[in-house]
Amino acid sequence: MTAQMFGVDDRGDKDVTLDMLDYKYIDECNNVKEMERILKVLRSAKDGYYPHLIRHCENKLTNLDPKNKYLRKESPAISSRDLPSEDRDQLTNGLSDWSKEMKNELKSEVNGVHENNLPPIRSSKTMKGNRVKKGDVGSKKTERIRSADYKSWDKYNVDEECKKVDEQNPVVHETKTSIPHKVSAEGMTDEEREMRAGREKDKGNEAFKAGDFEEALAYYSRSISLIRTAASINNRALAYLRLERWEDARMDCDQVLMMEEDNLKAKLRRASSLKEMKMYQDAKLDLDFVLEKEPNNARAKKLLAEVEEKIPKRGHRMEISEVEEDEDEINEETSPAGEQIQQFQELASTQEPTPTEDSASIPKSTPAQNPTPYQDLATQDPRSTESSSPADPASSSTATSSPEPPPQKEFSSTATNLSSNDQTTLPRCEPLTQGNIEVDAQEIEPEIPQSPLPMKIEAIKTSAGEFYRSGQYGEASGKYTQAITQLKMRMKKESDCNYSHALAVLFNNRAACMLKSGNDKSCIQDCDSVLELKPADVKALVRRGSAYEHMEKYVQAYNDFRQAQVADWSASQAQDGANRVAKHLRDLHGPGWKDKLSGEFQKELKPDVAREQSNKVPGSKPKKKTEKKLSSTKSVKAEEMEAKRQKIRQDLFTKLKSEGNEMVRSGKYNEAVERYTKCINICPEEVASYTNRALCFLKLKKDLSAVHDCTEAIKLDVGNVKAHFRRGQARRNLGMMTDAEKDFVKVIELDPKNRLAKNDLDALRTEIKSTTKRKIEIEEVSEEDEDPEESGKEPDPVESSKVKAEDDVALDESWIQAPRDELPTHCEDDDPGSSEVKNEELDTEEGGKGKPQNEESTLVLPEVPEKMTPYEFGNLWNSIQPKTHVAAYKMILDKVSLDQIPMMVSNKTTDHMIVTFAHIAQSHIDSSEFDRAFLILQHLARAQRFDMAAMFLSLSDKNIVCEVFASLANSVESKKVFFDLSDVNRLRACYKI
Amino acid sequence: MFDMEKPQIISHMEKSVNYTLYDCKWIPRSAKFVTIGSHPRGTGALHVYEISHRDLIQLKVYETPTSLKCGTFAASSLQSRHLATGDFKGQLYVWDLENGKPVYQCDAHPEIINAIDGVGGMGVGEGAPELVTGSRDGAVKVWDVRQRDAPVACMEPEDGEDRRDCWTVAFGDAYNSEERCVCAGYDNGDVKMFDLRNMSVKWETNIKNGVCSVEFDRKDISMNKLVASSLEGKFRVFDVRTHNSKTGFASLEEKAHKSTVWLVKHLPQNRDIFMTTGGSGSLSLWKYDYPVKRVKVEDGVKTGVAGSLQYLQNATLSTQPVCGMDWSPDKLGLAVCVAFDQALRVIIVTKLNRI
Repeated sequence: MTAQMFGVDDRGDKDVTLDMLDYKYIDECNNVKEMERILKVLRSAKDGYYPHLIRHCENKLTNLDPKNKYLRKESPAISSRDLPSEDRDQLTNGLSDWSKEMKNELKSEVNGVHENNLPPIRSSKTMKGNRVKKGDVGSKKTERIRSADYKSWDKYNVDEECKKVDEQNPVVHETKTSIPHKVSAEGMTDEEREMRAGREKDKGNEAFKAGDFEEALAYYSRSISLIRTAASINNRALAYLRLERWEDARMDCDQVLMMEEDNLKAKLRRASSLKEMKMYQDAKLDLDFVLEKEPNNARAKKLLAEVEEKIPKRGHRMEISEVEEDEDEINEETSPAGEQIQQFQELASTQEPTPTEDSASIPKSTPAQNPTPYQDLATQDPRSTESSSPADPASSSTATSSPEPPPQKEFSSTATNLSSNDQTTLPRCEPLTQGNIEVDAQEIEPEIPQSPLPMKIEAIKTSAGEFYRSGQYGEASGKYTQAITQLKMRMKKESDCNYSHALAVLFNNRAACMLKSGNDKSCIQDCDSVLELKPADVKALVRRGSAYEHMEKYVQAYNDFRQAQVADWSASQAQDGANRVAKHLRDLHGPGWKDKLSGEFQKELKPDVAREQSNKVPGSKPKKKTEKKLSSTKSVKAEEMEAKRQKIRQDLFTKLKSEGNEMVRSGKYNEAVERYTKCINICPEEVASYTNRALCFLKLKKDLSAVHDCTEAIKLDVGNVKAHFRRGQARRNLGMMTDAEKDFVKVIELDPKNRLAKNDLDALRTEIKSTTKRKIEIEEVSEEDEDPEESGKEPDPVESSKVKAEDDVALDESWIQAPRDELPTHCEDDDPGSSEVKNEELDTEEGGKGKPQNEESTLVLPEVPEKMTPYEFGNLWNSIQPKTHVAAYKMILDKVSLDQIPMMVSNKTTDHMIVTFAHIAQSHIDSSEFDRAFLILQHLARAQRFDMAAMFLSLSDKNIVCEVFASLANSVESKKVFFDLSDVNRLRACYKI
Repeated sequence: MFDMEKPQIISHMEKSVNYTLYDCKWIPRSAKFVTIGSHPRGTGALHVYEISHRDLIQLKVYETPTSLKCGTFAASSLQSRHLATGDFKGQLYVWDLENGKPVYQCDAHPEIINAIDGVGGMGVGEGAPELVTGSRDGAVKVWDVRQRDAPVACMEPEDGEDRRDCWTVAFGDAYNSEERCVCAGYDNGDVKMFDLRNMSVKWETNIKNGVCSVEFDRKDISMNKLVASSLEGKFRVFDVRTHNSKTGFASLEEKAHKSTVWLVKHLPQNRDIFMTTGGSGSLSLWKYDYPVKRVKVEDGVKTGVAGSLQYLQNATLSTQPVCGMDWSPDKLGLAVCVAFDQALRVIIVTKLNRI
């Protein structure tokens, strides 16, 4: 019982405790195994059946591991009746065609001779005891000679024993499969032969796919010995190419080309073999032919480039090219994986068409006339990514805290390759990774040739890496220090060698050591040095961020993590770190921490740079120079990289946005919000995302969020009509009538033709003014107008209101008359295409129509006593709900004599209070009480802590206050007021505007 | 409605019968298949069906003296297309389906023949056409239809040794006229591979639970992969290319169904795709992906490396075990299966050529 209470009962899955069966726990858990166990327990319903929690858990697991076997669901077989009629017909027709064909073949079949040439009957044998006989496979136990058995040792012949050992070792049985390359077709009917040939070719393809080229070759030969088809010969040519039997490959290609003159694959393959046989001119002819037919054939282009390089130019002698050739071959060998994949795809393309359309009963060796045999090249194969990743040393996804020796080694190898100015493995892989997002990394293809690390330093580094791996961080950092000093010495001596990369790596590694051993300051210093050498090094940024985090300098940490994220979007450590730090910052500074700290970011950055400057080791002048040179070229490079990333991000952004728009259209606002949120994360400065998300929030009745988004949008684009309009709607829903009114006014100001806004505004004004509780609710119809704004077709708001009008008829009396007179007048021009969508949206809205009214009526005006103490004032002020209920605040303020304001407010001045005061002032201005408006603001400015609070005004707040001052200033000219323009300006200065 | 990128398992036709179905086989080079089963009165049922447009046409109905358990065309030539069957009394018959007369008959085993396989016919595999039978008596016997009465090879336990029920047999490695091997699975989880040329046990292992089905991915190539399915819903894929004297073959295990995995059937057109059938009437479609390197060499000794499995699709056809299934050798993706709910189903698996 107690055991059960503590969740350590004997349910078999000992590590799954009750507290794990919880949304929060599941959300935070990232361990696939653990999720599997939790899911198992949940599904077993031992602790109760929670379908939603199970689904939640499954979703989470899907995120972690989409192919997890626990997610496999049994599904009933689809019956052909359930298929769409088109597919069903295709299926049945395909099948009946096939069965008809089969019938015909049956008739044509002759009962020919058979069993002529069968092998003899096996001589009968019986095997008793079907166990693997010991000693057959296992090693024989030879008696060991005891150490004291001198007689035996005397007999022991060392040489003989050594020989025995030698003989035993190569026992590894080489099972060279001897597949006959020919099949006797004697006594076979044509069908049999055809079937057999197809089968042999299939076997060849399969073997090829599995990488057994010898075997593939054998099966292709067998197929060819039965029936000579161009496809089989062509495939055999490919097998020859893989086996580097160039001459045979060329002969096969010749044969194919005799059968099919224009077979591009054969041409291409012949070109490859000719190139290897150094017959460059012939190869070029073939390639030119291919490129003429298919100008975009990437492989042909590449080959041609290689071939042209080899064609001796005037003055060149043949020997030179031969030497190059040899090197080239070696390189060719180093990257078969990439090409292989492409070849697989080719093979796949020569295989049969879909079963449903397939009328051929046998895998017929169809002539290989695929129009675009090499198009696959650019398409991304998962394997191609795999195979290229090892060649991608600095891929920053390896931003783990592991020490760098391996990447560094690879790097230096690329460096040597580059310096030898030859084909490297990297460029060869490139075409395959084209479709891959961001496999590039700074370290690849450095423009400045980097010198390989001197042996001595390399050795120190390796030993340091070992120390690091074994957890001896102190020793490791010592070694790295040694390596760094030596390298610096060297750099001073040999100014022509560029070790900056190596140095950066060393610094980076030492930083990792420092971080591990808790020496945060040194870690930061080292990271600074790295960043000097390599401005956008993700690892260094992450490490510095972590160090700052340890030192609780969250702002700097956040900054670093963000930068790392920008540099490499996929760096999960950076992301995690940023989130972690952001949480701390939010705890410390409240939800608006970003705004508050935005200034600080800049401030913090500067001292950083300054320190970097001052931290430079004295006496390392030559290094400084190279560094500077490097960093300038680096920054150019970084810019290029940034541009690339920008593009990728842009693509992702458009994709997400269009998805979001799609969601909105189909009414899935929650999903749409997710998409737009991602959009905003990617491109925080894109206004449309905010306005669109605001629309979704509006639909979801999350008016506060909507207001916030609109405000953000307005911050970015002051003249955004949609943002203003939506904020107006949201504010109206929230009961902030005056603010809503202002928004609508702004809309009309920006877009005088906007009838919807006018209608809304009119309604709003009557609402504000009407003393009765009945308020006219104007339906927010028009917001659909912009969700597809970027996608080009912007449904006219007018037309949507027409649908609205139609809908009106169906509505009951609660729908107030006012707008009805107007609305039907807009129906002239409508677009039938989109009306459907509108109708759907309206349906969803009907339920919420009465809501804002109710909310409005529930706003309770506070009972304000005649005389208040500051304490009472504070209580009353804070009790107002919602915080945007200006009218209530105004009531409170009305009871306070103006010169008491500073006293009442005492030291509780907040930014919210300032804004509220501004609102109140505005309402006074609206009712032409300019003096009071001015005095309220003036007295507030005298309150304690006012200056502090004013500093924290957000941009939107400042805008509001600005507007108030603007209207005050206007009033000076027109109306008779006791203050003048200079007064206003002075006050304005107090408000820091 | 359905994810049309993935292969789909579509139940195309379904037919209920009034006898117990045990096995089904496509007649090569035709749109016909034969079902093998048992009438309640203890006689065998051999029915031939043909697919035509949207219907299944019953062409032939034969009743044989004894309940039939299993059958194969694999040792017959394309011209004759005779069906070899094993029955409950241990008799091996070869039938001419045109007239329903046996062309070969012998008392192969004293007890039920659980499984039968063939090689050498149909252009599959080099060498003589041979049949192999596995029986409850624990023996595995190889037959040549040219030789009456006596098997050409017999692998049985030693006298006094436990006689384990042999549930499944399969031919393989028949890539030239000399080489040939038989793999057999037993009720105690033993999997044994017999080399017919040397008459020796080439390899054996135990997969813990009764072995319901073994199959080579191809019979007529140098043996490449072997799949063995077991009672407890798991199956094991062995890479049988590379044998290591210490560790044997590299393998990987996968849980396929909630209950017994009755059958493993490789697609005749692609050796890396196979279907498993489950005790709860489900089908699962798999693809084997080779590792980057199939062989690693350590200290001069070669060891195989197992690849990975891709779970392509599943479908539940019935509530009863699917005990028989056969891919059409002529039409990619077409298959017939029979289950213990006395129904036969023609299924179509789409998109197999796109994998």
